[in-house]
Amino acid sequence: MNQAVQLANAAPEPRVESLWRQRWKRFRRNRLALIAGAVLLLLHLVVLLGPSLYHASPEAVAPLNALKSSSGAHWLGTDELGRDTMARLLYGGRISLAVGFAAMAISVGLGTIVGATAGYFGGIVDMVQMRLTDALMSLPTIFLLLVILTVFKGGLVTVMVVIGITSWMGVARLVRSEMLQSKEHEFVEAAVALGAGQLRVLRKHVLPSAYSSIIVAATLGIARAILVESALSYLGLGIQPPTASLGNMLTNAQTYLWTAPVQALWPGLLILLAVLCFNFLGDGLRDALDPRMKR
Amino acid sequence: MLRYTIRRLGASALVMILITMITFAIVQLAPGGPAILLDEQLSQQDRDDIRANLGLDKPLPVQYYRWAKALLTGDLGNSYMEREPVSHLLAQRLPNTLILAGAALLLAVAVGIPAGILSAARTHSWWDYSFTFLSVLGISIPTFWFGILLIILCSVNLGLLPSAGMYTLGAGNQVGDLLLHMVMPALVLALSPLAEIARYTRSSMLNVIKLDYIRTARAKGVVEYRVLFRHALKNALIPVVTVIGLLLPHLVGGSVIIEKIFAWPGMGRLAADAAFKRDYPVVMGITVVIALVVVAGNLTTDLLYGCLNPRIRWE
Repeated sequence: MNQAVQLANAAPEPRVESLWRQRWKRFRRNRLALIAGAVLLLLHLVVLLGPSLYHASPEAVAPLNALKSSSGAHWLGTDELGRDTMARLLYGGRISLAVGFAAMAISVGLGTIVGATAGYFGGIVDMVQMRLTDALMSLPTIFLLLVILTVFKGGLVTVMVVIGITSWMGVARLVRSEMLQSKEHEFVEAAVALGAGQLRVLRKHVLPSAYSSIIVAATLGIARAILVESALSYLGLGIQPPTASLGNMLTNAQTYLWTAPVQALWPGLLILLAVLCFNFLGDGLRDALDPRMKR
Repeated sequence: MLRYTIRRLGASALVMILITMITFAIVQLAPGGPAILLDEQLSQQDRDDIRANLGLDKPLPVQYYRWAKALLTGDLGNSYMEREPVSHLLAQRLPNTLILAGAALLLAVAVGIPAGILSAARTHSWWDYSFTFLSVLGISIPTFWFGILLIILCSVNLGLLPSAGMYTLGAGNQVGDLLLHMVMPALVLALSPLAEIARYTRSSMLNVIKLDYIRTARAKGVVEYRVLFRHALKNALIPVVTVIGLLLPHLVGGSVIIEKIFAWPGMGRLAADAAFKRDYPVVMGITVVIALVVVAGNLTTDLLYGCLNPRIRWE
C-alpha cells in the first residue's frame, strides 16, 4: 500500500490542456486531413509564386503553335490558340482559390447573420427568415445562379458575390440550430442578468458556441464554391475569356478531345485536387473541433 | 395524417409563392429593368413603347400579380430568341430531362443502397474504407470533368459509346440507341446522389444494427443476411427515403451541366443556353417549373414518409 501511495505521489501533476491544444492533438491524429492541409499550403504557394517563376503569358496567342504537347518551352503544351497551358493553369488556379475564399466569406457572413438572429431572437424574425431559407433551399442552386447571371454579366467579382449570396442557407440553418441550444446556457442568463445588451450577449456569449461548426462549414464551403465556379465558367457564365479559369479551359478542351485529350486532363485534376483537399480538411476539422459529430 | 397532409401542402404552396417572388425580383434588379436587355440599339422612345406594351410601366406589385396570374394558367411568356412560347419549348425538353434524371435516380438507388448496406455490415473493413474514400471523391470530382474523362475513355479511345445527343441521326428513334446514348450522362448524373444515398444508408443501418431487436434476432439464431435485409433494412430505409427526396434538386440541377457536356436536348441545356443569350423569360419559366417539380417531389416524399412512419401516420 505504501508503494501505491508513493507511486501516486510520484506521478506528475495532470497538466490541464487548453481546449485548442486538445483540438490540435485530435486533428494531428487524422493523417488524411493533415496531408490535405499540407497539399493545400503547397498549392497556394505554387499558384501565388508560380507565375513569377514560370515566365509565360497565359493570354499570348500563337496560332501556329496550337495544341502542342509538352516541351521545354511549354511544360504542359499549348491550347487551341497556342496559349501556354501551364501558365493558364497557374492563373486559373489563382482565380479558383480566390473565388473559393471570397464566396465562402460572403456566404458564411450572411449565413451567420441570418442564422444567429433567427435562432437568438426567435419569433417572427425566425419565422420570416427561415421560410425564406427553406424556399431558397428547395430550388436547385444552379437555377438561382442562372437567373442572376442572365441579368448580370459574369466576371470575377460577380461570380464571387453570386456564389456567396446563393449558398448561405446551409450555414444559416446550422448556426440557427446551434443558437437554439446555446442560448439556454446559464452563463447567457447570467450575462443578461448583469445587464449586457442583446447584441453583446449574442456576439460574446451565444455565438462563440457555434464557431467550430462555422469553421467546418466554411472549409467545406470553399470546396463547394470552387466546384460551382468551375461549372459556371464551363457553361460560359462565370469567368469570361480571355481570362483563364479552370472551368473555361475545359470548355475549350472539350472541342479538341479527339486531337488533344491531354489538354482536358490538367484543369480537371487541379480542381479535383483542391476540392478533395478542402473536403478532407473540413472532415478532419469536424472530427477535431466537434467530437460529437464524429461519424 | 390529414392534418399532416394539409400542413405540408400549405408549406409547399408558400415555398412556391416565395420562389416566384424571388425570381421576379432578381430580374427586376437588371439595371434599367428587363426591357433594356432586349436590344442595345433601341432609342429611348422605342424603349418606352416596349415598356408600356409589356406593362413594365406599371408598379411592381401589379406586374408581379399579372405575371403570377399568367403562370397559373400555364402561360410562361415568350422566348426572345426562339419567338416561341416558353411553354412549348418546355414541353419539348422536359420529358428528355425526366428520362435522364429518372435513369440516374434508378442507378443511384440500385447501387447506392446495396453499397451502403455492405459497408455497414462490414465496418472498418477494406471495403468500408475504400467506400468512404470513394464517396468523398464522388462529391469532390467536378461532374463535367468526370463526363469529359468518360468521353475520352469510352468514345475517343474505345469507340464504344456515342458522345453526344439522344439518338443517332437518321437511325430512327430506337430504344436501344437511346439507352446507348444514355449510359454516360446517366452515370455522371447519378454519381453524387449515389454517394449521398450510400452514405446515408450506411449510417442509418449502423444506427439500427445497434438496437435491441437486432440483437434478439441474432440471439434467436436468424441468419445474418436475413437479419440485415429483413429486420434491419426495413427501419433503416425510412430516413433514406427522405434523403432521396432531398436529392431531387441535385438531380435536376445536375442536369444543367450534364446536358451541356453530352449535348442532351433537355431542359437544363435549354436553361443554360438561355442564360447565356440573356433570354430571361425562358430562364424564369424554367426556374418556376423546376421549382414546381422539386416542391412536388418533396411533398410526395414527405407524404410517403408519413405513410412509412407510423408515428406520423397516427398523429
